[in-house]
Amino acid sequence: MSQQEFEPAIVAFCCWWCAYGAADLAGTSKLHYPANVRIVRTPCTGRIDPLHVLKAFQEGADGVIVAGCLKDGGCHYVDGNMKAEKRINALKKLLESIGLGRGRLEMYFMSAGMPDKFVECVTEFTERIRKIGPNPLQF
Amino acid sequence: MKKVRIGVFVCHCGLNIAKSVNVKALREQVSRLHGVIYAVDYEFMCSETGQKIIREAIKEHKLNRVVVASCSPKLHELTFRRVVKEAGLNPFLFEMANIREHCSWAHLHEPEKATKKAVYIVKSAVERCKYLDEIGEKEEFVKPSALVIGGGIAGVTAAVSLADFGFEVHLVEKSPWLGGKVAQLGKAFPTEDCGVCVTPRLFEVDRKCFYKSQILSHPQIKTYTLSTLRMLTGYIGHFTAQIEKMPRYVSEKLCIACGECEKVCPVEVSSEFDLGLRKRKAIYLPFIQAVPHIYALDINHCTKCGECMKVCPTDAINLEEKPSYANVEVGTIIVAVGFDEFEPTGMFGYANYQNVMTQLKLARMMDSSGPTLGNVVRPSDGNAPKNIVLLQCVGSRDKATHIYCSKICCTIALKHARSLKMMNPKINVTICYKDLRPFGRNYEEIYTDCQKLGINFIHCDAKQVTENLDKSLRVNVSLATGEEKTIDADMLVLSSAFVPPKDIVQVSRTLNLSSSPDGFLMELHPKLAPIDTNMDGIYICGACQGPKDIQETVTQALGAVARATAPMAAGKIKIDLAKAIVDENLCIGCANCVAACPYNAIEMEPSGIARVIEIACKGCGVCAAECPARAMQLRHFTDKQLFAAVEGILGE
Repeated sequence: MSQQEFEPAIVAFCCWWCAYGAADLAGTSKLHYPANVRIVRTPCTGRIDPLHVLKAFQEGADGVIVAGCLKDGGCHYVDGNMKAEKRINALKKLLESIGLGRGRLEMYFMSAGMPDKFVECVTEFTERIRKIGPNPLQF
Repeated sequence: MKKVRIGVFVCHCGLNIAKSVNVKALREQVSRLHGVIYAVDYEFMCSETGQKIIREAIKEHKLNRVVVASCSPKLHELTFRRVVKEAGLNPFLFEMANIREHCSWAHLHEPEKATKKAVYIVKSAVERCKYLDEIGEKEEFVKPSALVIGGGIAGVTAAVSLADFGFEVHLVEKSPWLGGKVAQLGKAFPTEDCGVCVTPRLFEVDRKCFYKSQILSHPQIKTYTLSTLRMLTGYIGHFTAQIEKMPRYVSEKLCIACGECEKVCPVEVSSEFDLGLRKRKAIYLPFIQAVPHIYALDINHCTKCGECMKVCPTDAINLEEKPSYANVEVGTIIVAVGFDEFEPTGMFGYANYQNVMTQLKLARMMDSSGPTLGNVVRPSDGNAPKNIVLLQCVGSRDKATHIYCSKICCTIALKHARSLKMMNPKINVTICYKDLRPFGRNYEEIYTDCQKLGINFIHCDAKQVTENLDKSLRVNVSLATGEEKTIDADMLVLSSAFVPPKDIVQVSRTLNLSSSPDGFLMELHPKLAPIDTNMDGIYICGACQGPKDIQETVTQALGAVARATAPMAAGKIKIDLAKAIVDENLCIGCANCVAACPYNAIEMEPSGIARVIEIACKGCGVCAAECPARAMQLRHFTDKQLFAAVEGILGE
């Protein structure tokens, strides 16, 4: 598969209150971002277990985004986003050590009123994954 | 598990979806997915006809799972849950696939990619719905009593109004007296009546002064001054609040406010209420109408000389008083902790030059019963100023301090300018503004009055303020045209921003409330739930949610009363049980979930197994992600359901 043809599959776990709303608003505002990004709804990023992310890689995701509310009080559930950040940071280290690479996973923070931020994050991430290449678990 | 029979209903949403997603191809492809018994596409699934298609298909094809591929669940999830319920299915056996906001609109010019992505989105919903469980409802009792935090105009309005409904009210105020910021205003726009008078007894349109109101005599209201909320446990219907009451050192029962103590007190400190325009004693009333009309002793400045105790005719003073605690049980809570005026220290000479002050200090001067008896004077020499400059947007709409607009400072400045000019037509009043926004009803009239009265309006950016030897000031501004200009002023009044009160973080932590990035408390939804918070049963009103004028504050306070009344009047609430649940066979009793839960909604049973208090659980799922034994699951977002959703959104 050449770099040109590679269309990565990207799973974005979006918290219901902020990132999911930002993605909704991006659509409503007709802002465009790569169709490679597919959204899975979670109540809070704090619900996301490392296993959910690993499942995405197992199923062939080339990159995984975890998107939650703004830091410093933006979380609808007090600090679920901060708990998620800790888990995601730990998981990145694990991905690095098992050879998938830490770059395939990223956490972003935004409010429901920030569709531009959503588009910017997922577009940038898609470009990053394009450069990194396909998930080696796919064969 | 009973065999799943899934129906998929693809919505065109007119052309909103159908323009970029090939809905026929989508329906065709998903109809072949495992478990899908029936698939159909229709122009508007949310329409009555669309709903009928779903209801009839459920019956005809004996569907036990329903997927609607349409808009965002934020719009119509509840609509379709109702539809499937009407057809006899549990509403939680329904799943929505968002192919409009997340697909057709976002990839409007890429129909092929949009259609492909839509298939993945629907496939994910189909996979996930196979693992959905029926979820029921539960009823809980609501205690008919409320806690109101904050004794300013919002809190007092709410407390009196709740009490009128017949509910028991606990009103907590951190300072020794009620009234908040509004009590400090000499005049309040648009009607220009005095601040203490507009603070309610609100339904009495003759504006009977709040200081003659029933707030203290209302049998339903218990007022706690000098008090803060230390701890909150429980949930809607059953909150337990621990109130800490700091000592007043003067007995509320015995003090008759004769003022003898104040006469003999040797200590003089600057009055907080009058923003330093007057001195007060260590034992004092901040102003003549203060409510409760009881003295308080400021222990930080008291020298414990004992003179006041000697003269007190009722022996009301006790220097050994200790903090006390009260636990109250309430069904709902209204938060009305107000705002602070931003201290623009170092900006435009504030705190360095004597004749630079904020609008609130000017308001104290203009109060006819205030420290200067309504006379506006220069702090440096006590003379009446001839040139007053009012400077807008200090600490607001400014990247270096606060980016938001404090909204009412324009009208405050206009009101003050008008009053100054009406008191003394010879005075020169200049308003330096970036944009002028007298937004409210009857506020434009204040602006036109100002124009008629000859107030100078200068559209400019203030750059710098310097002080002359005679303590007068030179305000350098750059005009909208780009020119530089210097304005002479005897007195400069800064329209300083509204900021969240200093203790707002403690309030939000104690109550588990979310804050906005600007630091104010956050409503559940800016348009649809502007008074509700992320906590069921806790409502917000007034300037603690963002800058507001008195009209808006009172309106919102009454709105909060309505929101709090709903569950208390009903006496019970229904909750769906899409909450966390423990598998007792798997729980290892580590209590990680108890520590992770932000709502104290999990407790350890004596048997060493975790138990979820369903009514307190908000369904975030943090506990489930934290559980090392996979014993904790969040219903409707279980591991299996999430794995299936991930599986569906990927693959071929």
